[in-house]
Amino acid sequence: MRQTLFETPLFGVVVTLAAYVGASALRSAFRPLRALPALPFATALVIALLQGFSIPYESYRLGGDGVQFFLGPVTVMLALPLYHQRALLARHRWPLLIGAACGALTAVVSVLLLSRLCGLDPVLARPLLVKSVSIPFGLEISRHLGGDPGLAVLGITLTGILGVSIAPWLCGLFRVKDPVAQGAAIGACSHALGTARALEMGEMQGATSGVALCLTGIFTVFIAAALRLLGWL
Amino acid sequence: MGVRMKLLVQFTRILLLYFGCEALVRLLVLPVPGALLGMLALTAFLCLGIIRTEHVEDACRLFLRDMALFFIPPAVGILASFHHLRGNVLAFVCVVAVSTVLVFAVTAFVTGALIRRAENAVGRARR
Repeated sequence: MRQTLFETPLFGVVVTLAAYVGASALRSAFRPLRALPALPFATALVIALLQGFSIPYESYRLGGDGVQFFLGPVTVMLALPLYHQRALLARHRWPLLIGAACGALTAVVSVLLLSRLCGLDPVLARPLLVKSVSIPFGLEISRHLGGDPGLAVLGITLTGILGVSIAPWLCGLFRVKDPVAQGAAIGACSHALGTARALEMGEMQGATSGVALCLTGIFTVFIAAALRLLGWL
Repeated sequence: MGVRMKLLVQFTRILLLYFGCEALVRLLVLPVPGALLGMLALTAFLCLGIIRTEHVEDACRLFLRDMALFFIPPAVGILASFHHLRGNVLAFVCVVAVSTVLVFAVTAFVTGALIRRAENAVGRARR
């Protein structure tokens, strides 16, 4: 009975939705939790449930994949905030372009240097090159670079969760007050996950974050291609 | 067509556009994901007035408001990939954390500085 119940897509879908709704409800009920974004919280709930009842990840995935599919359409839908803020984005096109190029370059170079410094296995370091781009992008680039897609998603998600959790704090630490600079930095370092958070901060931050995510992704494609041509990878 | 169908029609419109972009990416062997091309295409269509905001707005708002939901499955996937890391967990997390802060700082600094410079130039031109 147990087996057939958990091995349907229904299980993964229901668990994901319930965890998200539950995490959102808990956040609005308890004030101290509000600083925490819903995602890491909901993810922890799902992981605790799977571990607690020793349900294999593969069973969860049947439904989880269904929910993850919507990442594609949602990425397309980011066009709406982009369109709404088009005048602002056009005015700041150069700062955004150059900022995103510097961000993408920093991501790739810092991963190459830091992984050498920390003695990280190159097999593990390579998927991290795409850690600052959105999941659809990361999978595409890693397919060309030949890194493990699971690890790429792991790196991207860890980056995203970290970025989302500390972004507002980093804005304070580095005294970033301009909403365009805030959005650009959030989008460049924590991709679509950060963009979801930036949208909560304001539509201006959300739109610039969307642009930055887009630009950083495109630049990372080129940087990865260039590194491969130079034989550094 | 009643109000009841509106959301469904909007969502279908977006999926059709996305599907077209995926087809184009495969046809031309482009190095960008279809979803990104879809985002650019939809923005362009909205700007050109080929698609009006009211054609997609409600579906977009519905999904964008709870965008974090769709990231839960890949985040739970950490469970499946974690064993690959074996003894490298600390180094892996360290690289991710330091690099993320660096990317944030560099992007914020460069973008902010360029915006301030542009605004100062405009201010000086006015004076």
